[in-house]
Amino acid sequence: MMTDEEKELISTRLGLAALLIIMIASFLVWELYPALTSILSMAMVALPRQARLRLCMPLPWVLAAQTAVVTVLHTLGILVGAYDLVWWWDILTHMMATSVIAVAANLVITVRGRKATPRALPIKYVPLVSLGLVIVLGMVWEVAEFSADVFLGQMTQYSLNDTAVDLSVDILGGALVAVVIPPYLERLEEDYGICEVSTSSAI
Amino acid sequence: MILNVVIPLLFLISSLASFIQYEGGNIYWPAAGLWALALAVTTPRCLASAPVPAAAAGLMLLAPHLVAIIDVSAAPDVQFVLLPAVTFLLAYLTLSFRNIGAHDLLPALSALLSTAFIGVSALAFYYLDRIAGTSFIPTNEAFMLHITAGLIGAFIMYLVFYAGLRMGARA
Repeated sequence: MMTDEEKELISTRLGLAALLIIMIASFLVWELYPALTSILSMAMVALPRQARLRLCMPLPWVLAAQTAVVTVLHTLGILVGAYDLVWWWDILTHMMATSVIAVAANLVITVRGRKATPRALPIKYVPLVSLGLVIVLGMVWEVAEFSADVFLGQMTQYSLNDTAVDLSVDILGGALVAVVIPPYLERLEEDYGICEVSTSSAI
Repeated sequence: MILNVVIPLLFLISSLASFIQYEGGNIYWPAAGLWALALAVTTPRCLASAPVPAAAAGLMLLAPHLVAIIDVSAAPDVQFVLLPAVTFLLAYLTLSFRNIGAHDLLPALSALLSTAFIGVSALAFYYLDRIAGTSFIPTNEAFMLHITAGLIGAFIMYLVFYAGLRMGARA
Protein backbone atom coordinates (compact mmCIF):
# COMPACT_ATOMS: atom_id res chain seq x y z
CA MET A 1 0.00 0.00 0.00
CA MET A 2 1.54 3.30 -1.09
CA THR A 3 1.70 6.23 1.29
CA ASP A 4 0.39 9.68 0.35
CA GLU A 5 3.97 10.92 0.06
CA GLU A 6 4.83 8.18 -2.44
CA LYS A 7 1.72 8.92 -4.49
CA GLU A 8 2.66 12.61 -4.48
CA LEU A 9 6.19 11.77 -5.63
CA ILE A 10 4.92 9.62 -8.51
CA SER A 11 2.40 12.31 -9.58
CA THR A 12 5.11 14.96 -9.51
CA ARG A 13 7.58 12.87 -11.51
CA LEU A 14 4.95 11.94 -14.12
CA GLY A 15 3.93 15.60 -14.44
CA LEU A 16 7.53 16.77 -14.82
CA ALA A 17 8.24 14.09 -17.43
CA ALA A 18 5.16 15.03 -19.48
CA LEU A 19 6.04 18.73 -19.30
CA LEU A 20 9.61 17.97 -20.35
CA ILE A 21 8.29 16.16 -23.42
CA ILE A 22 6.00 19.10 -24.26
CA MET A 23 8.89 21.53 -23.79
CA ILE A 24 11.14 19.55 -26.16
CA ALA A 25 8.31 19.26 -28.70
CA SER A 26 7.71 23.02 -28.45
CA PHE A 27 11.35 23.80 -29.11
CA LEU A 28 11.40 21.32 -32.01
CA VAL A 29 8.53 23.16 -33.74
CA TRP A 30 9.98 26.49 -32.48
CA GLU A 31 6.91 27.52 -30.47
CA LEU A 32 8.36 29.62 -27.66
CA TYR A 33 5.11 30.37 -25.77
CA PRO A 34 4.30 26.72 -24.88
CA ALA A 35 8.01 26.07 -24.27
CA LEU A 36 8.26 28.87 -21.71
CA THR A 37 4.90 27.93 -20.22
CA SER A 38 6.05 24.35 -19.73
CA ILE A 39 9.16 25.57 -17.87
CA LEU A 40 6.99 27.70 -15.57
CA SER A 41 4.60 24.77 -15.18
CA MET A 42 7.45 22.52 -14.04
CA ALA A 43 8.11 24.92 -11.19
CA MET A 44 4.42 24.79 -10.28
CA VAL A 45 4.32 20.98 -10.39
CA ALA A 46 7.27 20.89 -8.00
CA LEU A 47 5.52 23.19 -5.51
CA PRO A 48 3.44 20.59 -3.57
CA ARG A 49 6.59 18.49 -3.05
CA GLN A 50 8.55 21.53 -1.93
CA ALA A 51 5.73 22.55 0.42
CA ARG A 52 6.03 19.13 2.09
CA LEU A 53 9.84 19.19 2.30
CA ARG A 54 10.57 22.82 3.07
CA LEU A 55 7.41 24.28 4.62
CA CYS A 56 6.19 21.23 6.56
CA MET A 57 2.89 21.49 4.73
CA PRO A 58 2.01 18.05 3.38
CA LEU A 59 -0.74 18.67 0.82
CA PRO A 60 -3.25 16.00 -0.22
CA TRP A 61 -1.54 13.89 -2.93
CA VAL A 62 -4.55 14.49 -5.17
CA LEU A 63 -3.55 18.14 -5.25
CA ALA A 64 -0.10 17.27 -6.63
CA ALA A 65 -1.73 14.99 -9.22
CA GLN A 66 -4.25 17.66 -10.20
CA THR A 67 -1.49 20.29 -10.48
CA ALA A 68 0.38 17.97 -12.83
CA VAL A 69 -2.71 17.25 -14.93
CA VAL A 70 -3.83 20.86 -15.25
CA THR A 71 -0.38 22.19 -16.17
CA VAL A 72 0.05 19.42 -18.77
CA LEU A 73 -3.43 20.18 -20.20
CA HIS A 74 -2.64 23.89 -20.30
CA THR A 75 0.75 23.66 -22.03
CA LEU A 76 -0.46 20.92 -24.37
CA GLY A 77 -3.51 23.06 -25.14
CA ILE A 78 -1.30 25.97 -26.13
CA LEU A 79 1.01 23.77 -28.23
CA VAL A 80 -1.68 21.97 -30.22
CA GLY A 81 -4.13 24.91 -30.28
CA ALA A 82 -6.77 23.14 -28.20
CA TYR A 83 -7.86 26.50 -26.75
CA ASP A 84 -9.01 27.50 -30.24
CA LEU A 85 -10.26 24.07 -31.35
CA VAL A 86 -12.14 22.84 -28.27
CA TRP A 87 -14.58 25.35 -26.78
CA TRP A 88 -14.59 23.81 -23.29
CA TRP A 89 -10.78 23.48 -22.97
CA ASP A 90 -10.46 26.94 -21.40
CA ILE A 91 -13.29 26.20 -18.95
CA LEU A 92 -11.75 22.85 -18.00
CA THR A 93 -8.28 24.26 -17.29
CA HIS A 94 -9.63 27.31 -15.44
CA MET A 95 -11.86 25.15 -13.24
CA MET A 96 -9.09 22.65 -12.44
CA ALA A 97 -6.46 25.33 -11.83
CA THR A 98 -8.80 27.32 -9.62
CA SER A 99 -9.68 24.33 -7.47
CA VAL A 100 -5.97 23.54 -6.99
CA ILE A 101 -5.26 27.14 -6.03
CA ALA A 102 -8.30 27.22 -3.75
CA VAL A 103 -7.17 24.14 -1.80
CA ALA A 104 -3.65 25.56 -1.47
CA ALA A 105 -5.09 28.94 -0.43
CA ASN A 106 -7.23 27.28 2.25
CA LEU A 107 -4.21 25.50 3.71
CA VAL A 108 -1.93 28.54 3.60
CA ILE A 109 -4.59 30.77 5.18
CA THR A 110 -5.26 28.15 7.86
CA VAL A 111 -1.57 28.11 8.79
CA ARG A 112 -1.21 31.91 8.66
CA GLY A 113 -4.53 32.36 10.45
CA ARG A 114 -3.35 30.26 13.38
CA LYS A 115 -0.44 32.68 13.91
CA ALA A 116 -2.67 35.76 13.77
CA THR A 117 -2.80 38.21 16.67
CA PRO A 118 -4.38 38.87 19.11
CA ARG A 119 -6.38 35.70 18.31
CA ALA A 120 -6.22 33.05 15.60
CA LEU A 121 -8.52 33.45 12.63
CA PRO A 122 -11.53 31.17 13.30
CA ILE A 123 -11.45 28.17 10.96
CA LYS A 124 -14.99 28.91 9.75
CA TYR A 125 -13.72 32.06 8.01
CA VAL A 126 -10.88 30.30 6.16
CA PRO A 127 -12.95 28.99 3.20
CA LEU A 128 -14.53 32.43 2.73
CA VAL A 129 -11.17 34.21 2.84
CA SER A 130 -9.78 31.63 0.42
CA LEU A 131 -12.71 32.21 -1.92
CA GLY A 132 -11.91 35.92 -1.82
CA LEU A 133 -8.27 35.15 -2.60
CA VAL A 134 -9.26 32.91 -5.52
CA ILE A 135 -11.48 35.66 -6.96
CA VAL A 136 -8.66 38.19 -6.62
CA LEU A 137 -6.14 35.84 -8.23
CA GLY A 138 -8.61 35.27 -11.07
CA MET A 139 -8.85 39.03 -11.52
CA VAL A 140 -5.06 39.38 -11.46
CA TRP A 141 -4.82 36.66 -14.12
CA GLU A 142 -7.32 38.46 -16.35
CA VAL A 143 -5.47 41.77 -15.89
CA ALA A 144 -2.21 40.01 -16.83
CA GLU A 145 -3.85 38.62 -19.97
CA PHE A 146 -5.33 42.02 -20.81
CA SER A 147 -1.91 43.65 -20.31
CA ALA A 148 -0.27 41.05 -22.57
CA ASP A 149 -2.85 41.85 -25.25
CA VAL A 150 -2.49 45.62 -24.95
CA PHE A 151 1.26 45.96 -24.46
CA LEU A 152 2.66 42.84 -26.16
CA GLY A 153 0.14 42.50 -28.98
CA GLN A 154 -0.97 39.02 -27.85
CA MET A 155 -4.47 37.57 -28.28
CA THR A 156 -5.16 35.93 -24.94
CA GLN A 157 -8.56 37.53 -24.23
CA TYR A 158 -10.93 36.92 -27.09
CA SER A 159 -13.91 38.97 -25.90
CA LEU A 160 -15.86 40.31 -22.93
CA ASN A 161 -17.75 37.02 -22.92
CA ASP A 162 -14.47 35.06 -22.67
CA THR A 163 -13.21 37.21 -19.77
CA ALA A 164 -16.49 37.02 -17.86
CA VAL A 165 -16.83 33.26 -18.32
CA ASP A 166 -13.22 32.72 -17.17
CA LEU A 167 -13.83 34.77 -14.04
CA SER A 168 -17.15 33.05 -13.39
CA VAL A 169 -15.53 29.62 -13.67
CA ASP A 170 -12.79 30.77 -11.27
CA ILE A 171 -15.42 31.78 -8.73
CA LEU A 172 -17.32 28.53 -9.25
CA GLY A 173 -14.17 26.45 -8.63
CA GLY A 174 -13.32 28.48 -5.53
CA ALA A 175 -16.87 28.20 -4.22
CA LEU A 176 -16.91 24.44 -4.79
CA VAL A 177 -13.75 24.03 -2.71
CA ALA A 178 -15.12 26.39 -0.04
CA VAL A 179 -18.13 24.08 0.32
CA VAL A 180 -16.27 20.76 0.53
CA ILE A 181 -13.05 21.67 2.39
CA PRO A 182 -14.20 22.65 5.94
CA PRO A 183 -14.20 19.06 7.35
CA TYR A 184 -10.66 18.52 5.99
CA LEU A 185 -9.43 21.78 7.56
CA GLU A 186 -10.93 20.88 10.92
CA ARG A 187 -9.01 17.57 10.90
CA LEU A 188 -5.62 19.23 10.32
CA GLU A 189 -3.13 18.76 13.13
CA GLU A 190 -2.29 21.70 15.37
CA ASP A 191 1.36 21.82 14.21
CA TYR A 192 0.47 21.65 10.50
CA GLY A 193 2.81 24.03 8.66
CA ILE A 194 4.89 24.88 11.72
CA CYS A 195 6.90 21.70 12.29
CA GLU A 196 10.66 21.30 11.78
CA VAL A 197 11.93 21.41 8.19
CA SER A 198 12.54 17.92 6.80
CA THR A 199 15.42 17.21 4.42
CA SER A 200 14.32 13.71 3.43
CA SER A 201 13.89 12.40 -0.09
CA ALA A 202 13.88 15.10 -2.74
CA ILE A 203 12.27 14.95 -6.18
CA MET B 1 -21.36 60.71 23.27
CA ILE B 2 -22.09 62.99 20.33
CA LEU B 3 -20.10 60.64 18.10
CA ASN B 4 -22.61 57.90 18.85
CA VAL B 5 -25.21 59.95 16.98
CA VAL B 6 -23.16 61.89 14.44
CA ILE B 7 -21.17 59.02 12.91
CA PRO B 8 -24.09 56.63 12.25
CA LEU B 9 -26.19 59.57 11.01
CA LEU B 10 -23.43 60.73 8.63
CA PHE B 11 -23.04 57.16 7.42
CA LEU B 12 -26.77 56.76 6.85
CA ILE B 13 -27.10 60.06 4.98
CA SER B 14 -24.04 59.42 2.81
CA SER B 15 -25.16 55.88 1.97
CA LEU B 16 -28.58 57.16 0.91
CA ALA B 17 -26.93 59.98 -1.06
CA SER B 18 -24.93 57.44 -3.04
CA PHE B 19 -28.14 56.44 -4.83
CA ILE B 20 -28.38 59.89 -6.42
CA GLN B 21 -26.87 59.34 -9.85
CA TYR B 22 -25.21 61.72 -12.29
CA GLU B 23 -25.15 61.42 -16.06
CA GLY B 24 -22.35 59.01 -16.94
CA GLY B 25 -21.98 58.15 -13.26
CA ASN B 26 -20.21 55.04 -12.00
CA ILE B 27 -22.61 52.08 -12.14
CA TYR B 28 -20.92 50.39 -9.17
CA TRP B 29 -21.29 53.39 -6.84
CA PRO B 30 -24.89 52.61 -5.77
CA ALA B 31 -23.83 49.00 -5.08
CA ALA B 32 -21.23 50.31 -2.62
CA GLY B 33 -23.93 52.60 -1.24
CA LEU B 34 -26.17 49.60 -0.67
CA TRP B 35 -23.37 47.92 1.31
CA ALA B 36 -22.94 51.12 3.37
CA LEU B 37 -26.68 51.31 3.95
CA ALA B 38 -26.69 47.72 5.21
CA LEU B 39 -23.96 48.63 7.71
CA ALA B 40 -25.75 51.83 8.75
CA VAL B 41 -28.99 49.95 9.43
CA THR B 42 -27.60 46.80 11.06
CA THR B 43 -24.58 48.08 13.01
CA PRO B 44 -25.06 51.75 13.98
CA ARG B 45 -23.43 51.30 17.41
CA CYS B 46 -20.41 49.55 15.92
CA LEU B 47 -19.97 52.45 13.50
CA ALA B 48 -19.63 54.81 16.45
CA SER B 49 -16.95 52.54 17.91
CA ALA B 50 -14.83 52.93 14.76
CA PRO B 51 -15.26 56.68 14.15
CA VAL B 52 -12.24 57.31 11.90
CA PRO B 53 -12.81 54.69 9.15
CA ALA B 54 -16.60 55.15 9.41
CA ALA B 55 -16.35 58.94 9.01
CA ALA B 56 -13.82 58.54 6.20
CA ALA B 57 -16.12 56.16 4.33
CA GLY B 58 -19.10 58.46 4.92
CA LEU B 59 -17.25 61.52 3.65
CA MET B 60 -15.93 59.63 0.63
CA LEU B 61 -19.47 58.61 -0.26
CA LEU B 62 -20.46 62.26 -0.08
CA ALA B 63 -17.41 63.51 -2.01
CA PRO B 64 -18.93 63.21 -5.53
CA HIS B 65 -21.85 65.41 -4.46
CA LEU B 66 -19.49 67.98 -2.93
CA VAL B 67 -17.46 68.04 -6.15
CA ALA B 68 -20.67 68.25 -8.19
CA ILE B 69 -21.48 71.58 -6.51
CA ILE B 70 -18.47 73.03 -8.34
CA ASP B 71 -18.47 70.88 -11.48
CA VAL B 72 -21.13 68.23 -12.14
CA SER B 73 -19.14 66.62 -14.95
CA ALA B 74 -16.31 65.76 -12.52
CA ALA B 75 -18.55 63.70 -10.20
CA PRO B 76 -18.28 60.40 -12.19
CA ASP B 77 -14.48 60.68 -12.21
CA VAL B 78 -14.45 61.19 -8.45
CA GLN B 79 -16.67 58.11 -8.06
CA PHE B 80 -14.31 56.07 -10.25
CA VAL B 81 -11.23 57.10 -8.25
CA LEU B 82 -12.82 56.71 -4.82
CA LEU B 83 -14.72 53.47 -5.39
CA PRO B 84 -11.85 51.10 -4.39
CA ALA B 85 -11.12 53.22 -1.31
CA VAL B 86 -14.78 53.24 -0.27
CA THR B 87 -15.17 49.48 -0.74
CA PHE B 88 -11.94 48.88 1.18
CA LEU B 89 -13.22 50.94 4.11
CA LEU B 90 -16.59 49.19 4.01
CA ALA B 91 -14.80 45.83 4.01
CA TYR B 92 -12.60 46.96 6.90
CA LEU B 93 -15.63 48.06 8.92
CA THR B 94 -17.57 44.88 8.11
CA LEU B 95 -14.69 42.63 9.20
CA SER B 96 -13.99 44.72 12.30
CA PHE B 97 -17.58 44.32 13.43
CA ARG B 98 -17.48 40.54 12.87
CA ASN B 99 -14.88 40.28 15.65
CA ILE B 100 -12.67 37.85 13.73
CA GLY B 101 -9.81 38.24 16.20
CA ALA B 102 -7.00 38.33 13.65
CA HIS B 103 -6.44 42.10 13.77
CA ASP B 104 -3.04 41.89 12.11
CA LEU B 105 -4.71 40.35 9.05
CA LEU B 106 -7.47 42.97 8.79
CA PRO B 107 -5.80 45.12 6.08
CA ALA B 108 -5.11 42.08 3.88
CA LEU B 109 -8.56 40.60 4.46
CA SER B 110 -10.20 43.95 3.73
CA ALA B 111 -8.26 44.26 0.48
CA LEU B 112 -9.38 40.75 -0.47
CA LEU B 113 -13.02 41.39 0.38
CA SER B 114 -13.19 44.75 -1.38
CA THR B 115 -11.49 43.43 -4.52
CA ALA B 116 -13.76 40.40 -4.55
CA PHE B 117 -16.74 42.76 -4.26
CA ILE B 118 -15.49 44.70 -7.28
CA GLY B 119 -14.97 41.52 -9.32
CA VAL B 120 -18.32 40.03 -8.40
CA SER B 121 -20.21 43.29 -9.00
CA ALA B 122 -18.62 43.55 -12.47
CA LEU B 123 -19.81 40.02 -13.21
CA ALA B 124 -23.26 40.81 -11.83
CA PHE B 125 -23.63 43.74 -14.24
CA TYR B 126 -22.31 41.58 -17.10
CA TYR B 127 -24.97 38.93 -16.48
CA LEU B 128 -27.61 41.62 -16.01
CA ASP B 129 -26.68 42.89 -19.48
CA ARG B 130 -27.00 39.36 -20.86
CA ILE B 131 -30.34 38.67 -19.21
CA ALA B 132 -32.08 42.05 -19.31
CA GLY B 133 -30.50 43.44 -22.49
CA THR B 134 -29.05 46.48 -20.73
CA SER B 135 -25.59 47.81 -21.61
CA PHE B 136 -23.92 48.62 -18.32
CA ILE B 137 -20.67 47.01 -19.50
CA PRO B 138 -20.47 47.54 -23.25
CA THR B 139 -16.91 46.32 -23.89
CA ASN B 140 -14.17 44.12 -22.51
CA GLU B 141 -12.09 47.28 -21.99
CA ALA B 142 -14.76 48.76 -19.69
CA PHE B 143 -14.86 45.50 -17.72
CA MET B 144 -11.08 45.35 -17.41
CA LEU B 145 -10.76 49.05 -16.50
CA HIS B 146 -13.05 48.54 -13.51
CA ILE B 147 -11.21 45.40 -12.40
CA THR B 148 -7.76 46.94 -12.84
CA ALA B 149 -8.74 50.10 -10.94
CA GLY B 150 -10.20 47.94 -8.18
CA LEU B 151 -7.03 45.89 -7.82
CA ILE B 152 -4.74 48.92 -7.81
CA GLY B 153 -6.95 50.88 -5.40
CA ALA B 154 -7.30 47.98 -2.97
CA PHE B 155 -3.54 47.39 -3.04
CA ILE B 156 -2.82 51.06 -2.26
CA MET B 157 -5.33 51.04 0.59
CA TYR B 158 -3.77 47.81 1.90
CA LEU B 159 -0.33 49.45 1.92
CA VAL B 160 -1.68 52.51 3.75
CA PHE B 161 -3.47 50.45 6.40
CA TYR B 162 -0.59 47.98 6.75
CA ALA B 163 1.82 50.88 7.30
CA GLY B 164 -0.60 52.34 9.85
CA LEU B 165 -0.77 49.00 11.65
CA ARG B 166 3.02 48.71 11.76
CA MET B 167 3.42 52.27 13.03
CA GLY B 168 0.75 51.64 15.65
CA ALA B 169 2.58 48.50 16.78
CA ARG B 170 5.88 50.40 17.13
CA ALA B 171 4.36 53.32 19.06
